[in-house]
Formats: sequence, C-alpha cells, structure tokens
Amino acid sequence: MAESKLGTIVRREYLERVRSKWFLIATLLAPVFLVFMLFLPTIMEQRERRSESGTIRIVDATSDSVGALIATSLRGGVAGDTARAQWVPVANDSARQSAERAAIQAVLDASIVGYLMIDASAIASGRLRYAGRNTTALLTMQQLEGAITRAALTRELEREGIGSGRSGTLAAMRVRLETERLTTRGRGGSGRVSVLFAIGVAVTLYLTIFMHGSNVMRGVLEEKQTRVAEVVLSSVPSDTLLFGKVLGIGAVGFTQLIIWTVMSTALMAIRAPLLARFGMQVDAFALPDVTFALAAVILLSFLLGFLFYAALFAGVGALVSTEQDAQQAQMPVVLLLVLSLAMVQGVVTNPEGSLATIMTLLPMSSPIVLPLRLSLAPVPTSETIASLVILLASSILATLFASRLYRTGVLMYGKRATLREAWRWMQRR
Amino acid sequence: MSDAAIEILNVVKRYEGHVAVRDLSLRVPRGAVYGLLGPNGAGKTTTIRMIMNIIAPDAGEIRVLGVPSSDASITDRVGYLPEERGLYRKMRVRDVLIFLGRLKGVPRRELPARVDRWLERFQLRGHGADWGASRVDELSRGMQQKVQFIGALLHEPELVILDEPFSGLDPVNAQALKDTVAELRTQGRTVIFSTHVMENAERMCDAVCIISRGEKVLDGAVSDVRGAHANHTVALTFEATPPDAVLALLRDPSRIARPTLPSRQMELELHAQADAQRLLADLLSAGARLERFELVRPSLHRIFLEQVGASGVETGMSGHG
Repeated sequence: MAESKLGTIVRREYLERVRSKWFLIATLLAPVFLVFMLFLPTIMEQRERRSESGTIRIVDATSDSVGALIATSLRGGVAGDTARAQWVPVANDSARQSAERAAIQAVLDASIVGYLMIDASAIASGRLRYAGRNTTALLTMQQLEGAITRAALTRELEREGIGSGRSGTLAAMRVRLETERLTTRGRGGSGRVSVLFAIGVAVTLYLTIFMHGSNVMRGVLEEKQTRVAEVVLSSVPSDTLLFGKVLGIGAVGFTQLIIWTVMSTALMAIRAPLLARFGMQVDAFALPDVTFALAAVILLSFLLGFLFYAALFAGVGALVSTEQDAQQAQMPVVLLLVLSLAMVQGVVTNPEGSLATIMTLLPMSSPIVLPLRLSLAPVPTSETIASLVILLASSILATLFASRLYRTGVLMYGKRATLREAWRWMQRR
Repeated sequence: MSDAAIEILNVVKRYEGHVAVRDLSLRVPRGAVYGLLGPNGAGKTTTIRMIMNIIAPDAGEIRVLGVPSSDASITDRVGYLPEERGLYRKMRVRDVLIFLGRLKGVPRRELPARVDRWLERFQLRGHGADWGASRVDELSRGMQQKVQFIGALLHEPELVILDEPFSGLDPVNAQALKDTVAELRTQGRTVIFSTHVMENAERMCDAVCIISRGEKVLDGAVSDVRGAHANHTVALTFEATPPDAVLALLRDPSRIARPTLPSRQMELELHAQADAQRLLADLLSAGARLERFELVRPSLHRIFLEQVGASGVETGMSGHG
C-alpha cells in the first residue's frame, strides 16, 4: 500500500498513455511498416522482372552480327523468349536511316519499347545509342549494357583467335561477392543483413526517443495550459512531478520497444513460410544473432538517450506556453537528434573511423550510434563504457537543469521565456 | 502545538522588476474562516503559493499547522483550490479524483467509495447519471469547478485554502460553496480564501486581512475591523427618489466626507465634524421621506475602498496576484 507520490504520478502518466488509442495505433502500425519494409524488396524485384516484358529492336550496322549475339543474350539464350529482342541487320547507311525511322514508328505504335543502334565505330568508342520508352528502367538498362559488353567482348576474343564457345564463356564470366560478418564469437549472419539490422535498430531508437521525448514536452505543456500543474504542485515538489512524468513516459516507450521486439521476432520466424505461400521467392535472411550484451546496450541506450532528450524536451516545454511556440523552441533539440541520425550513413560506411568514435562519445548521438556500431563491428569495451558513462552523466546534468527550468517555468503562463530568463531560472537555487 | 493554523512572519517575495509581497506578517487562528482580501495584483496568490510551498519566499518564515511550510509532510493535511483552475482534460473524472486523492496520501482502496460520496454530494452522481465516468472535457465549466473543489476536499484536510473560489461560479454553485465552507467550519477545519468580492468575505469570514501592493493594510476579526471603523457611517433608504434639496445636502462636503452617487439606498461616510442627528433633522426638513436612517458599522467594502483607495485598485498589477 506504500505507493509513493512519485509512483502515483508515474502510474498516471503510464496508464493514461498506454490505454489511449494512439498508443495502440502507433504500436501496431510500426510493425506493419516493418513487415512492409521486409517484403517490399522481394515484391519490387518480382514486379520489376515482370515489367521487363517489352521487345527491344537492335538495328545492327556491324559486319560481324554483334546485334545477333546481343539479341540472343537478351532472350536468355538460343532457345529463349524471341519476343524479348528483334535483330535487324542493315547493310548500308540509307538502309540504316530507314530502319531507324521504322523503329521510331514502332516505338510510337507501342509494338516495341525501344531500339538500340550499333555499328563498329560505336562499339570501338564504347558509346552506343538507345532510344525508347523505358530508359529509366535501371535494371533493364543494366541488363542491356551487360548484354552489349558481353557480345562485343565475345566478337573481340574471336578475332583474337579464341574459339567461339570459349570466348562466350569468358565474356560471361562474373564475380559475385558473398559477404560474411566475423565476430569474436564466430560467424554471424551476412554483412548486408547486419547493416540492415543495425540501421533498423538506429532508426527505431531515433523514432522512440524522438516520439516519447517530445511527448514529455507535450505533457509539460498540457499541464501548463490546463493549469493542472498547480494542483499537483500543491501535493508534490516540482522535481517529483517532472521525474514522474519522465519515468512514466519512458516506461511507455520501453513497453513499446518490448512489444516490437516480440512481434518482429515472431514475424521473422514466419516470414519464409508466409512469402512461400504467396508464391514469392525466399532468400536466405538470417538475423545476426543478437547477444545478450548487445540487447542490454540497446535497451540501456534507449533509456539513457530518452532520459537525456526527455530532459531537453521538458526544458523546452517549461519555457513555452503554446503549441506554436513549442514547435519553434524545440528545433535545436530536434536538430541534435536528426543530425545524429544523419550521421548514421557515415558510421555504417566506416564503423571504426574517427567520425564513428566521436559520435559514440557525444551524448547527443551516442544512444543512436553506439548500438549501431555494436551491431556492425566490434567496439572496444572501454569505448562502450565511456560512451554509456558520458551519456549517463549528461542525462543527470540535463535533468538537473531541466528541473530548475521546470520549477519556475511550469507556473509561468501566457508568455514565452527569453533565453536570458531561462538562464536566470537555471541559476536560481 | 501552536494554536495558529498559519503564521506568516516578515515574508518577502521579489520578482524581476517588482516586489510581489513585502514584509508581510499575519496569523490565521485554527478553526476560523479567514479572508485574504485585496485588489488584483495585491499579492494574494503569491502569498497563497508560498503557504502551499509552491514557490519559496525570498525572506521570512511561514509555519503551517505548526510546522514550516517547506516540510513535505504538511501537504497531506492541506487542501488547495488554485485561482487558475484546470484538470487533465482527457482523463475520466473518477480517475482524476483518485489521482488527486492518491497524491494526498489517501489509501487507494478507500478512494472509490469516497469519490462516489463526494460526487453525489455535488450532484455529479445519482438519479441515473454518473459524471464520474465521463471525461473531464465532456463536463460543463461549472461541473469542472465542482470536480476541482472535490479534489481539494477529498482527503478531508485540516486546512483548506481557496484562491478566488467564487470567480466563475453561478449563483447556485456559489451558494453550494458557501454551504460547504460553513460546514467545514462546524467540523473545526480552518478555511482561508482570497477574494476581491467583499460581500462574500463579510458574510463568511471570522477574520480578514486586507493587503494591497504586497503589504498588509489591516487585519483582525471582522467584528473588530468593522467596529474600529464604525465612526461615521450612515445607511439611508428613501421611500422614493429624493428631491434636489435633499441631494444637495448629501453633496455638502461639510457634512459628507465622501460623496456617493445618489440612489434610493445609500451608505454615507459623514465628515469628521458632522453630527448624524443634525443631518437627519436637515434631511426631513428638506422634504426627504425616509424608510430607514441607521448609524451603521461600515461594510468591509467601504473599509476596503477607504483603506486601499481607488488608486490601489487601478495600479494593481496583473500576473502574480
């Protein structure tokens, strides 16, 4: 029965939010979004493959029928789909011009999607001309380039005296890089997947810290606008009200993170059968195994990062009286967060570079960057600890300043405090 | 244990640019209904907030129910209705009240029954309706005021502080509030309220303190305050609008210290050398037909105007009242 006053405030903040429709919607919609992101690449790829079904005409002015080779390649072999490519050999310049006019007409009639002009000098210079309706289809253009390169290379090798079968094989030679992530604990997941996972973690942390941090600001503002703060302050000190609010809203974010973790784990488990059911190809998609330490750091980063930003947002809330003022005044805080997210790209490219190290130590970015780096590459333990300690210290400091701003600001109605006033409030004991 | 519910000693509160309360001392006896009177901006709200330990005084000492106001244990024994009313709009009324009750240390299991009792008492529950289940923003303003009032009394505090409790209340609810204050007094609780409506203070208070520009102008039991100023006040009621000759008498500065707009009922302050009996005789001979001619103790309203003066009202600053 010994529920403290702090407990009462935490309880209200938590229950009022968790019971609201918005919590339900946000918590459920995020995984839907996640599912969408997981399925999207597969769906897109399949759509793309289907949309390639247009005929490409090759107007060939070369003497050694390179165009025929390209056509075969585009058809996917000798016995391939003849509707994919047409080969039109031309003997002289006038024939070539009339063939191009006919091709343009065919494109406009929509009987073909585009045409390719080739001749010996163009191949030698490496600059060929393609015109059509699908020039923005990157995949098709890549395929076309590949086919031309291979065909030209095959003819070149033949001229150098290599047998036609052998030269085709040589030209078609390709290298595929399979990446694999090595950690001290052994192999875990593919490199590509671990980047995806790391970015997913960083974005999720960013979103939850942002969302719940600004909820703290909105909560402070609501209490100012409705004047309810004064009633509460007649029962508890302002520090208790502020901490209760931060803790309660933090618990909401924590709950959401846990629900998402459970949901996405379950989703990953049923992803393959689900894709197969819709007749989609399943590529191997193994989550990098998440160690207990990594999970702990992710949760700790959320808690401390939330605490840090919640304090800043609460300070902003204490300074303003209207929603519009709040939108403006929160900009510096939002910028800190957005900047940290913007740095993610740089950190992913070079997880052990100096940018990554700095971002890991700065409290504004460490709650996002530290888990990101840990899921990408090993981070020295000393650096991890330093990052968390700095973040903790900064959070405490930010909370102290916020509670001073809050103490004075929460009873100031109707006007926005100037920076000078804010400074004076912070110094007041 | 001290027999004072509140003792304020030489308290000072400064804000950037002005002094809200300067060297204020007052004492509220236990079990009394005490009025804190003053024009807008006199420092009433600042004083009350300091009593509630919402803001700290820059100097001086405040003791509430015998202990320093900064003592955290005191808040459970005090109920507070701030001037700026407000509740969590999206919360259900019952949940808000349970929340406020919990903040005052009422055990959770006792709260539902207690909340229902109070809701019934203020006609927010019963006859098939239960506003306790509604969200705060679904209630009318008057109803929200009642909920807030319940929030201040739910934990049955020894000391109740009401800042401008009558502002925004319709006559029915104002009467309900007066009845509740009277009941609190019979239960031996101390009630302090601030107001600038002197009629309310005069009818309800045992003792008052008038403050202006952050300073105490006078304080004491209402009967003493009025007795001390009962020198030269006459209440008149004419049968009909008096003739000009009578009105001329009432404007004569050698008889009347402070001219008042003529009407059928008037309260006049006589000049220090004027004689009430002489005035009565002159009025009658001038043709006045009187229903009433009474030597009265002045109303708080009059004392307030006399002491604070019109200038005190006009220059009163808004904000930290």
